[in-house]
Amino acid sequence: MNGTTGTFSRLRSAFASSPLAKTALVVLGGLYLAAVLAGWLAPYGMDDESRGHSWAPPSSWHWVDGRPSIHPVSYTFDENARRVYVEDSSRAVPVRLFVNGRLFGLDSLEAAATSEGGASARLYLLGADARGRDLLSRLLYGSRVSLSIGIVGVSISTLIALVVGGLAGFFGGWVDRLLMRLCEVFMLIPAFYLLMLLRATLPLDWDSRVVYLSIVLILSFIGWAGLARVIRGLVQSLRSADYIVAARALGVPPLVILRRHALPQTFGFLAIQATLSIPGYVVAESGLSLLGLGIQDPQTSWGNLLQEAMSIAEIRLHPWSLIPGLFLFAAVLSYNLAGDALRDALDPRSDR
Amino acid sequence: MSLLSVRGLSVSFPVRGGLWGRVRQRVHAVQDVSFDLQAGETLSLVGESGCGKSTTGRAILRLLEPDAGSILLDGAEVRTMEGEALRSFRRQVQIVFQDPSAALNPRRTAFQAVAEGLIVHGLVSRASVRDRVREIFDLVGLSDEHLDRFPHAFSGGQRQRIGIARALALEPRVLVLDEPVSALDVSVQAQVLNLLEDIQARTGMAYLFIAHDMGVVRHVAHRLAVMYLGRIVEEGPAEEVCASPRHPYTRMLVASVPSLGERSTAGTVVRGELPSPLTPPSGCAFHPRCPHAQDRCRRERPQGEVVSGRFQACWYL
Amino acid sequence: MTAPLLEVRDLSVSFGAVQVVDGLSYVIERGQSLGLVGESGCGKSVSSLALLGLLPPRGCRVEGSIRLEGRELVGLPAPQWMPIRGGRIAMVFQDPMTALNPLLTVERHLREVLAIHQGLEGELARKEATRWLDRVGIPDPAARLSTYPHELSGGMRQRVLIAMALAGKPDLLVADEPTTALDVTIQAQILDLLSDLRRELGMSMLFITHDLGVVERVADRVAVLYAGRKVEEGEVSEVLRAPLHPYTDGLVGSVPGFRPRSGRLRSIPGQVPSPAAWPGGCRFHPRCPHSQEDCTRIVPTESSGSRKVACHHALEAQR
Repeated sequence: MNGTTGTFSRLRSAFASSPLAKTALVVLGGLYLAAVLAGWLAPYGMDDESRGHSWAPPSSWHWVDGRPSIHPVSYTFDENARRVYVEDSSRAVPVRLFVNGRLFGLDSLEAAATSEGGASARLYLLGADARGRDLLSRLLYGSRVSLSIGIVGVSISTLIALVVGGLAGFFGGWVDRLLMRLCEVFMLIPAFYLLMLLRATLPLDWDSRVVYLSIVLILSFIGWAGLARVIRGLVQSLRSADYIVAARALGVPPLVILRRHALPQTFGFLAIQATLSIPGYVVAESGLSLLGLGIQDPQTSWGNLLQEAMSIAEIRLHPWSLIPGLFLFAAVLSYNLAGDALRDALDPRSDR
Repeated sequence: MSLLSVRGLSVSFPVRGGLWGRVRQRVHAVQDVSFDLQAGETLSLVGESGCGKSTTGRAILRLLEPDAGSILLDGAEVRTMEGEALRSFRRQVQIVFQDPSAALNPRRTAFQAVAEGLIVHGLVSRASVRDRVREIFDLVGLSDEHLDRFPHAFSGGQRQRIGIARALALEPRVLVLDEPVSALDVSVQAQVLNLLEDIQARTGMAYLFIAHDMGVVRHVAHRLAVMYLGRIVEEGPAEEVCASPRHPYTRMLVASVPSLGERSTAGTVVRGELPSPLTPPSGCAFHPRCPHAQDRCRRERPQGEVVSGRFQACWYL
Repeated sequence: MTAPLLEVRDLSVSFGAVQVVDGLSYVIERGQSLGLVGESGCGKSVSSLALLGLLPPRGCRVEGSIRLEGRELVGLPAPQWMPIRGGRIAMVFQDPMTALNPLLTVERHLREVLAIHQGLEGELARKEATRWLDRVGIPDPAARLSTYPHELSGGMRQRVLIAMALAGKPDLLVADEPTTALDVTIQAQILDLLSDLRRELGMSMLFITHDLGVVERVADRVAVLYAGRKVEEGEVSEVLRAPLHPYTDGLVGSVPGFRPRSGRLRSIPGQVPSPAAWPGGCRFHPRCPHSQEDCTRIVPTESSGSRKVACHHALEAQR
């Protein structure tokens, strides 16, 4: 046995032994890859609208001349004055790979030609929204916000918690009492009202990137206190560990002891904690955007897209607007499964 | 002048409660402890759990803030040291812990553990740190192949050697050994005790050997101080104290030793339990367990006196 | 001739591919006390858990035979263990801090045992519980019945655990390092208590420890274990005075004992091997000062008679 076995091999064996955890990792990997490549994978731009295709259902595929094609659609109105889309089967527009600098889509020239009756062709794999924007494209662009917000948020709150909890636990005394009372004050603030309040005071015409950042900051601002208390507890129990006492007796400066000997012992716990709390951020962003407090149209996120699916009537008329919920569900579930596997691998108490 | 001289050392711990952690009560862990330690000598502090022996050791290392008393290293007051003086003190007094698996950071290699002190104190140039650590490893009976292993790859005895190496790296003059063998297997205990003996013979280091095992203590110590509930009740040359204990508590301690072969103090009744240090008995703290206790013992605490070279704190000897 | 109280034959215990006890045999007669001595990982605790069927059924294989008055215990189905555990064989564990349920009073602990093994209920059980507390030397037993474990010191808790073990009137008490977690003065009291109770009740005892001094105080016979195998067995006084096996000899030499300082301790070189890496042949050979070529190859067989040793070059021959 040499001394270098450890975290990495335990991680590998934990994930290898659980098919669920492996699947979760693959799903997460796929989602993040799709988010990164959104500009290439999505057949249309984020805000690429077509008023003539408001609430167009998912396009149906046809094989014409041996290649997948779609028919242009035009609409009429039913008795409730709602649009009903009709396919013009006389014309087929092939779906091509590597067009317009994207992975797949319709050739813009071929699609632009309108047939009589005003039917025009647009590719909607998952249907369209009220302004005729492709749901799949918006979903892919939206995943950039939804999937990164958790990681950025958790990083910020973990960093604050590490500093505050570390200092409080290590130095104790009045430092500890002051910081912990501060944590309690933060934990007492009703998070949801704070969010509403803060968002309400922020100007609505801010750039979406600023809004994004402010949401992340608000979320992590609320999230750090609980974590800081746990880290403080861990560090406090480590403070009396013999190897920390030994380092003090050696004359190692306190902050070096904290950084070198105390905080690294909390990393395993933090990794688990972070993985398990990312879904909270994803859901929180969705909730905020859903309520109109987060990402605003034309910017997109999963929560913002779900706004379209707020009423049963809407869902009945265009059920595809629920699809972002499936993605949210898959991401959150995968994070939880991965977090559990991580706990099994890193938490010494789960040994045997 | 003694190498290390402790006078009237008292340490207490606060018992806190309430929102702002106000101090509700103080537990007096060490009270009015005095002793001297000479170079090349082993002084053993013996007693049962909670008697304050470990606390005394930590206070000497300035890991705890004492309430009162003075700690003199070469006649210089340790309690008021700061800056360079404190750094130099840290070099001269080191500690080895009881539980070798808790004494090493599981995330750092044996080399890193031993090198840390060398680097902090700048004792050797960066380039020669590894060579120096190799030398120290050799001294404690570890080999080069052990350098880059993590603590979990070592057995208990080897870990204790790393702990000793870490302390020795600074070439201290006083080594506080806090139950250094009680967590080890019997066959390994002897190796470590022999190692410590060799190191002392070679370096002339002074040992403050904290232990509860009278057998081990009798083997290693030159002088012996028996502690009960924070105070020294008897002190003197180890062999004399073991062979003819005077204080009733020492006698009880000696009678408790499950010894091989002889049973020297047959007839001494071992009775009672350690009282809680939160509510210590009045007068002589040992009186509830003492077979000879009388009224005076309940009322007045014996101050202790030196009789024929041995300190004893008992009214009726 | 009637069967001995406990007869263990060729007991082997393995966890997966790792064998931790290898062909252990010993006999405990009625009223006798056997000390099982060894260092960490020698298999002494595991082999005693096997006596009570307390090893996990999954991942753990027990082979060989354990006979209680001739009745085979290995392979006994779980329901049949119930009257044996606590009723015929009782156990006292090392750590008195965790062996009691913090939410139950001392009385509830004792009454549980009395109800199961003696069928005692109500006022009768209360009286019996008080009697047992008194018997194990707990002052003011009637008042202590209503206390919770956290209100008791370590020594008192160990006394309660001993009372619980004895309340089922077992024939054999298995004590697994019952004094290791206690202070020396308390250890002495508990050892004396166990010896006294054993004599009074005519009970047999298996006493597991790493401390040779403790063995001398409580045991009639001693079996020394090294790396899962028994290396030596005999009367305590003989084994400790004149060990035949080099390991026992080294162990005796390693203990400072309570005697005047007499030079260096005779330590055993090397480390206690782990069960996953036991050496072949005689398992002690890498650390043995008398080891020869045959020791590395051939597993030594045990000599017969009441004084047993498993060594190719037993020390007696050299003296």
